[in-house]
Amino acid sequence: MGKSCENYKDILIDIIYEEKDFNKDIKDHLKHCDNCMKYYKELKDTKNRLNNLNTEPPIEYRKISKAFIKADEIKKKKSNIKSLFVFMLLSTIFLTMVVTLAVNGFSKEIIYFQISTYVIFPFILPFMIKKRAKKEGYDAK
Amino acid sequence: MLSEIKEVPIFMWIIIATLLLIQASWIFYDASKRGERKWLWGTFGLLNVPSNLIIYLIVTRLVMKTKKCDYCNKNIRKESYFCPYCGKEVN
Repeated sequence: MGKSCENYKDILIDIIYEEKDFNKDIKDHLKHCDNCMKYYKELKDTKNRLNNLNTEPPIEYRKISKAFIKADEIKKKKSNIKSLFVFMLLSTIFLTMVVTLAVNGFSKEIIYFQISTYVIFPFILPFMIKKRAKKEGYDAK
Repeated sequence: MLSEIKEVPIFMWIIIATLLLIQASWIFYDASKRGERKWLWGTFGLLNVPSNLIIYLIVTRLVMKTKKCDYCNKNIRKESYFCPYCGKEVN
């Protein structure tokens, strides 16, 4: 098997890929060279087998959906932090107002407000929880 | 009793305001992580310290226990058999 055989083998691969014509020169070489003939048959056999195979790669939907979930989580976290800053700014303004009022002699009213929230919340809370459970459909037992 | 309140020094008010801010911010962030109504809970956390924090913890940790859906990873109620978001059966 000389160097020419190596060259013919390269050409045979091209033929299998339908990039070169199966010309007379190669046909003559295959008639004389058993090695190259065997190689050509192997190539053809492999091509046929590959054609019969289902070549579509398996897609792991679970992995893909997990990646999407993770991306959503990161997005949500970012927006959560943004709204947290907005909330902190607003509440700082609110608390500054309250403290200013308290220092300027409105502390009595603030304490009254505190007492009323203490009294009212225990009554409101069960109602709110029940309303929410109804909205989510958990009270159908 | 109320007449004594007038004599509360200003730094006490500032300390209370700071505590309220920290409490409300934590409640806000926790509520947003858990998918609760964060603006409502955050405002609630601004009203009182520390009793509102205790109420928040009781409501979210004991009354409305949640778990994560295996399929869509969202927070759902612990007693649910099906995920309300993706419709898959959960144990």
